[in-house]
Amino acid sequence: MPWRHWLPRLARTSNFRLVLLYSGLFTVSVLVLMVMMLWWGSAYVIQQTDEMVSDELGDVQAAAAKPGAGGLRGVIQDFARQASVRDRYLLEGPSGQVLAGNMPHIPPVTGTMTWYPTSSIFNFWPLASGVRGAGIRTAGGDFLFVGRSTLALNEMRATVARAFLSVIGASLLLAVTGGLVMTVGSLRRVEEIGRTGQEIVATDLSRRVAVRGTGDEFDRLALSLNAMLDRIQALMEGLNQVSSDIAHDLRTPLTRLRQRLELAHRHEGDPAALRQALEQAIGNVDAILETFAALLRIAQIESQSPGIAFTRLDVSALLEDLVEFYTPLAEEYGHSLAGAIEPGLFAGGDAELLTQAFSNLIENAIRHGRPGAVTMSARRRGDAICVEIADPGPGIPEAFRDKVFQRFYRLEQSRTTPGTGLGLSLVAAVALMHGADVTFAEHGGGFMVRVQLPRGG
Amino acid sequence: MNYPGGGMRILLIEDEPETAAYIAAGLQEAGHEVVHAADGRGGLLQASSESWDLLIVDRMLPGLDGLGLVRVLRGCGIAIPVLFLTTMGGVGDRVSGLRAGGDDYLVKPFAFSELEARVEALGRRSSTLTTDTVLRAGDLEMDLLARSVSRGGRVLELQRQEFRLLEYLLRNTGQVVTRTMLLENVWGYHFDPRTNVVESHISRLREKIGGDLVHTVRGAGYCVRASDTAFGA
Ligand SMILES: Nc1ncnc2c1ncn2[C@@H]1O[C@H](COP(=O)(O)OP(=O)(O)O)[C@@H](O)[C@H]1O
Ligand SMILES: [Mg+2]
Repeated sequence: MPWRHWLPRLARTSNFRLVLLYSGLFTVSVLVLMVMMLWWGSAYVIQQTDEMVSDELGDVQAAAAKPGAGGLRGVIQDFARQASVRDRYLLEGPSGQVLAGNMPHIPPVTGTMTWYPTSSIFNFWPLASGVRGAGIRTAGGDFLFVGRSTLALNEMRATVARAFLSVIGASLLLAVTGGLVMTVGSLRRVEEIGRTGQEIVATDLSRRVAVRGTGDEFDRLALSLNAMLDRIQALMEGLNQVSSDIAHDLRTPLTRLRQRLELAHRHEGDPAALRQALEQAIGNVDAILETFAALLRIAQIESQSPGIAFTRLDVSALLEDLVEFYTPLAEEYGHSLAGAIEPGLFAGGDAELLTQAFSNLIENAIRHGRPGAVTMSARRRGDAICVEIADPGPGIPEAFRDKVFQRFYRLEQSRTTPGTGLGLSLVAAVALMHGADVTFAEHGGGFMVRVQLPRGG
Repeated sequence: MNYPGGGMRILLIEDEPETAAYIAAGLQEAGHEVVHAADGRGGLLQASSESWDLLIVDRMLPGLDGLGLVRVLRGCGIAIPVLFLTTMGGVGDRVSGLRAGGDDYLVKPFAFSELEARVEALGRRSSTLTTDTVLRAGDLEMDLLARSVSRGGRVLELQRQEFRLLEYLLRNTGQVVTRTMLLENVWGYHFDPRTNVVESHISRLREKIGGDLVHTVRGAGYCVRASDTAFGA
């Protein structure tokens, strides 16, 4: 990839801006640290110098006081001769003439001070070399000054500054190159994801974002994007499926309706036949409307936010009532219906929808099962209420257990029994809304539907 | 008013002209007087300024919607029975309708017999609220206090739901009650079972009390009629 192409985009990435921001902050803080170190270091060195100078001043006076030392003038000449490169001594007469020492004339100011050989604004420059010392007036009116060159101080300052500046330089270099490399890497991943997204928009929904397996944030992003795409694809396919199913499912009764009406039309002369044909036609329309109502209801349940109409429900009572309600019907079908329901089971839920869902399950057991014993049991199981509806079989074969929840799906063997194939779809929608789990299982030679409903509420 | 005996005076508030015409024609055929209002505000005005036996109110109306209309009426202390008409698939519609002060609701599209049965039931409720503790049909007697049923002096053993079913039928003696009315009023269920579970309850009941009391009205529902009893006795 040519740099001309990459650089402007790099500079715009949030990643790179972050790197620059952090580098700037780092530089500023290191600079502040440096200034503070210079300040305190200098203050320390100056204080040391001042102490030494005042000792030296004492020494000079003590030496001058000794008999035969040749007075202050002789002592200074002596000291100046033996002085190291940094030591400075000066004795000036009252009129400012230099009497002895290794320094030129300076203004006779008493107390500690720093003197610079050239007076200019550059004296404020930390590396300007001068003399730090202390001056006093002697009893004879002379000016005595003892000092040290600030060379050492300046060297210390220069060393500290050099060290800090090289640290700043090195880390800036590291940060910027590191940031660039990292940014290029992530920019590449992002562009890759973006490109896949555009391809998905443009061509097919089955494409997925590449996952590298490193488990980094891009992988996680890719994984959740892929999960989202899976869901969208499933929804799209479901939608397609549903609309073609609806079309298909309604074609049969509508065709039948059309035939009836045509027949009625032909039998216009025969009132009895006409009446019968019309009655049948109304029956057909009712069946179609019923299908629509069921579809609408499922769609409404699916679009409702869970918990909105929830109240605390006595699930045990609800189930007992249902068992009693369906007993005559079960017996008509040659079954026996029995309940084994633990009392006092409570859950938060929508009574109307739960009743309808469980009623669908009981009706399925009655209509799709062989004659025999149908039982509905309910008991506490951990944090859930476990409701089981068992029938004598033949049940739903493993391979179809996912499919029966789809709208309109009916097993081959059930095509002749009345029904719309929407019962379990409603059960699934109600279960989802209640956070419940619906599973199928074999059960003592028969079949069983298990609903696990979260307790409490 | 003069009901039962003559027809009811019914105000129909419905914006769809076809539905309104269908309902009005059917109810007029059944002997009721029907006045039609096509929007919420006009309906409210008419409902509050004249006297009616029953209001039939569409939930969705231009101007002022059905819920708001009934809320205002109830707020003014007008207690005319109200039957709401709602559209298919409204899961929470019934509850909100009843909460606003409706007495019954019916989901569109409906069989006319369903509407008719509910109109009759609501009309009767306002005129003949029975406070009797014993319900009778022919030689069948139901004692609501002792919770016992006997026919021709012979005590019949009824289960809880059978008792409630018979009680509801007897309270509406001479009236057609539909399957959904039974589901709603006897069991409190507001969904349509996909099986003829109500029919099997009825045939069970017939086995216990004899088959000559509860009659099936084709395409509509059931009706208690004792051969030797007059209407409303
Ligand atoms: N208890 C059961 N035993 C056997 N098959 C069943 C049972 N419950 C459901 N099924 C199968 O699942 C299909 C879908 O069920 P459902 O959605 O309730 O629709 P419907 O009952 O109207 O056919 C049924 O047609 C039937 O084939
Ligand atoms: Mg309307």
